[in-house]
Amino acid sequence: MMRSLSLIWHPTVLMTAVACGLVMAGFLLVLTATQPQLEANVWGGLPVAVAVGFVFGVVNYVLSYRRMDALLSEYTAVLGRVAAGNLTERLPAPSLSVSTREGRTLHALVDATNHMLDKLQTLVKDFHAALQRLEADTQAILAATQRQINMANEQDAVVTETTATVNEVRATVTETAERAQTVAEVAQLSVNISRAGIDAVSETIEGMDIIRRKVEDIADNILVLSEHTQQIGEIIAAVNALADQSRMLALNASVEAARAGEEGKGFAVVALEVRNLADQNRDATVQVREILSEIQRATNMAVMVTEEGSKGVDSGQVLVNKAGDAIRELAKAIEDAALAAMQIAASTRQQTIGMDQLTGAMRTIKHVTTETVSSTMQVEASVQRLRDAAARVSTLLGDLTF
Amino acid sequence: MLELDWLRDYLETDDSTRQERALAARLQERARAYAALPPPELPESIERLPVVTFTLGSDRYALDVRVVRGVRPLERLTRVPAVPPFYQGVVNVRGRMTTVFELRAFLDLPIDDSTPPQELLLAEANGLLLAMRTHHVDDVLFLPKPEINPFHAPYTLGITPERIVLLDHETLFSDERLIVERSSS
Repeated sequence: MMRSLSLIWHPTVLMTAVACGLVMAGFLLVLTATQPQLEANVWGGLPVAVAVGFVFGVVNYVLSYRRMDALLSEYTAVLGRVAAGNLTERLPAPSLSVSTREGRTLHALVDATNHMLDKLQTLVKDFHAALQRLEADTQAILAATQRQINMANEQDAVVTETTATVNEVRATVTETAERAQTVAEVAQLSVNISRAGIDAVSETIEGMDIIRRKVEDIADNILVLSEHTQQIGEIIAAVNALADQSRMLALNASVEAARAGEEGKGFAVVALEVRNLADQNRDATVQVREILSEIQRATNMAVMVTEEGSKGVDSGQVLVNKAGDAIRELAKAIEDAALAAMQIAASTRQQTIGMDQLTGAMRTIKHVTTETVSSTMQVEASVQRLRDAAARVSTLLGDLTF
Repeated sequence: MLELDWLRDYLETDDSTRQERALAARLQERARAYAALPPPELPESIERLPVVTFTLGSDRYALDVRVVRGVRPLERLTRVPAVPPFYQGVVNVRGRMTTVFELRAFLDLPIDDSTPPQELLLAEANGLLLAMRTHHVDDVLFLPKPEINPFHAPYTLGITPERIVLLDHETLFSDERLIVERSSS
């Protein structure tokens, strides 16, 4: 009832009551004008009309606006929950018939609002999904950058190591070049020496020829000497025979002297002297024969020695020729070695240049790697900031239900 | 084969050294000869036997000079078939065919010569001329008779202190075997 009384102050009720009073006042004016007899009693109907107007207004309100009012309250509550974060809330369909104007308006309102809410929910869902993807992607990027930094560091270490190795190799190559140079010089020296050796061998061969001719001359001379000693031997044999005959004669003379006795004594002395002479002669020939045989022995030995010398010279010549061939081959081998050593020296110099280029390239790689590391670290920081922003958005989205 | 030691010695010593050595050897020999004791002087009055000494094989023999007819080398020996071994053949001595006689074969002594005897000692006794083969006719000596040791054996008169066998030409040149040969020749 109290609520009904408060409804009097509802604009609708007031306006209805005012309208009813106005309509009654108008009617009464018209009535008094046409029928002056009724003048006194007629104005009493005006408060009644107002009261009727109030009643009519309250009834009208109760019948038409009260339901709409309740509906709007419900909608307000729903939208309040939406504003609080529950995006799943939707406005219920109004119980008003669409035949009325209000009903149509309310239905349109509910449909539009619900559509808007649908769109909002979809948007937030998509946004959430995008954030999640962003989270995963940035995580992957961070891992990738971390890996990249690690790899870059590793690469830096490897490059440093490689540079050190290249420097060592370069040192070795330089040493090799120096040694090859030394070898080439020594080989050149050896080539000169072996040429001198070849000359010496040629001279030796000539000397051998001279020796051979001399030995042959010696052999010829010794042959002549041998013939002469042969002749001397014959002469000595003749002298010996003469001495023998002299001795025989002397012996015969001695015999005759002895047979003659005293008379032959003087003759015996002569015969003895003759025999002594013959004996001396014989002794002399014996000595000469001994000397001669010694000479012959020596001559024979000399012949043999000369033959051996000749053979020795022959084999010496063969050996010297062989030695000459060997030295020539040796000289050729040494020249080849010298050439090879010089080629080695040249190629090692080229290798040194290549090593220098390699060292430069390594330095560049190292620089690039350092750059890459710093860039990657910047990328990492940016990504981290991006992730922070995304996390803040996610926190905001966390208050929502969708 | 080469006598290497000799050759080395020969090559290592020069001519002057060799001559010095030979001279030293000769002087040594001569000194030894001078140092030898001279044979004891015998009084002139002692009776001496003149003989011709000769070497045959390793022995020395002596033959009375009165039977010796000369000395000559053995040349152009003509061998005679079917005769005893001591009968070696014949040679021509001044136009006379002379028997060449090997004393050792006759005396049954061993013959082991490195060189054959090439000197002939002509001796004649009992009308028999023999050319005795000797290695060397040494000398004509006058043997002091007291020094000859009598040695009673066939064909031997005695032996001197120098171990010279003094042949007995009487028995030797009158031996039957030789006479038979002579009669047959």
